[in-house]
Amino acid sequence: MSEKGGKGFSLPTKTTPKSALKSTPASATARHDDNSAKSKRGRKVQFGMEGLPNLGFNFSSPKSDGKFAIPVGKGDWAKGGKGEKVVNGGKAPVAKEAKSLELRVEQELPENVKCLMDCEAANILEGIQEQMVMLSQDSTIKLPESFHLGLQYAKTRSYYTNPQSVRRVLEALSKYGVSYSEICVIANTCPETVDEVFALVRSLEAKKSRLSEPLKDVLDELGKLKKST
Amino acid sequence: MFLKVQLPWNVIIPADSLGAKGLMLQKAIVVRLLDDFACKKATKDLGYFIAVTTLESIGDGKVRQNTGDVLFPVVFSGITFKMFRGEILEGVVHKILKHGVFLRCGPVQNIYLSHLKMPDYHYVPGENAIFMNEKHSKIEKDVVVRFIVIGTKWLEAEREFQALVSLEGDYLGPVS
Repeated sequence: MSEKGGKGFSLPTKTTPKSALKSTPASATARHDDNSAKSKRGRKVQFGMEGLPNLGFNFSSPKSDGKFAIPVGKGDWAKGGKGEKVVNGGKAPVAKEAKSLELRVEQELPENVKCLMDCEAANILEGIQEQMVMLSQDSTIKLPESFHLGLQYAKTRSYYTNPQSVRRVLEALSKYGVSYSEICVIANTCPETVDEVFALVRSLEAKKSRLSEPLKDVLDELGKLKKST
Repeated sequence: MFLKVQLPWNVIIPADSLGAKGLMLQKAIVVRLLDDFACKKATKDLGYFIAVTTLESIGDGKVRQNTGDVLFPVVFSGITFKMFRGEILEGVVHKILKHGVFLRCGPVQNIYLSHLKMPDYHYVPGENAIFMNEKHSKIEKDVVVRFIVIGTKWLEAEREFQALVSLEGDYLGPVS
């Protein structure tokens, strides 16, 4: 069975018979294991069969009220139980992990690659689209599949009328040690308060004391540059 | 986020396009480059290929021994899209399941947000299942959600990325 969101694995629904459930563990665990290897979580979502024979199986979790009788789709609940059990035990790592979710774009990128703000990208892609209207008379010219998706995304995320002015305003932050990728994230999220900036761009927390004042000025300037929709 | 990249590329022009019309050669190179670019779809380092912006230079062509094609080394600039760990993005929900939701963000079609990473939201089953919190904020199909990226995975076979995201943090969640 193939579902829209599930490439390479299928998530069982309540009506799935047991035999279909058996076929999912390997692929599903593999996917989630890869993801958990990427991040330092202790959780493993195990689509295991161990819990199944026990009917009227109790587990505690922050989301449930306590006792649970397993309904027809017992495979699903066993899954949820296993996952949540492990998370409860591993609550401490979650807080630490939130801190480590910092932007490290510059370290990951090769030299000749630059970050673009969504509003800048939207401008460039719209220009290309206009040219394509002319060029499409020549049928040999192809656009990448992701072009339209990328363009649509950039347009919905571009809140500012003039990317160059946004760039100029935000560049004032670079002398306080804010990297260009962090500047792009600030422009993309269009924050309204200084708190929002520090909550979203976690890598700036360390420089909070130095940055608060200049950030406030920058956000005021950006507010004037916003598109009125 | 969107990236501006400058890449070297080898454009191969088959012998039959190398007519006597010298000016058509440049066009043939550009068309071939756009074609190759479109076919490539995405790479692990640069993300999804969105568009070519400029052709910086075309080098001298080298004739390939066995086939008679000519290989032109070119350098061009283009735009790509890649998701980074720790980045804040907005995606649209397209599928709701008991243990999480799937989102799309730009060219990335497979983004998973687990219910464990949706603090205070609980699953509300039904024909149109949704996730809801105490303040009646809903996560349902076609809702735009702002999230933070926990990790990404490159799938070589399908040439695409998958991502795992979270709503743990202030100012994250459905946006109006």
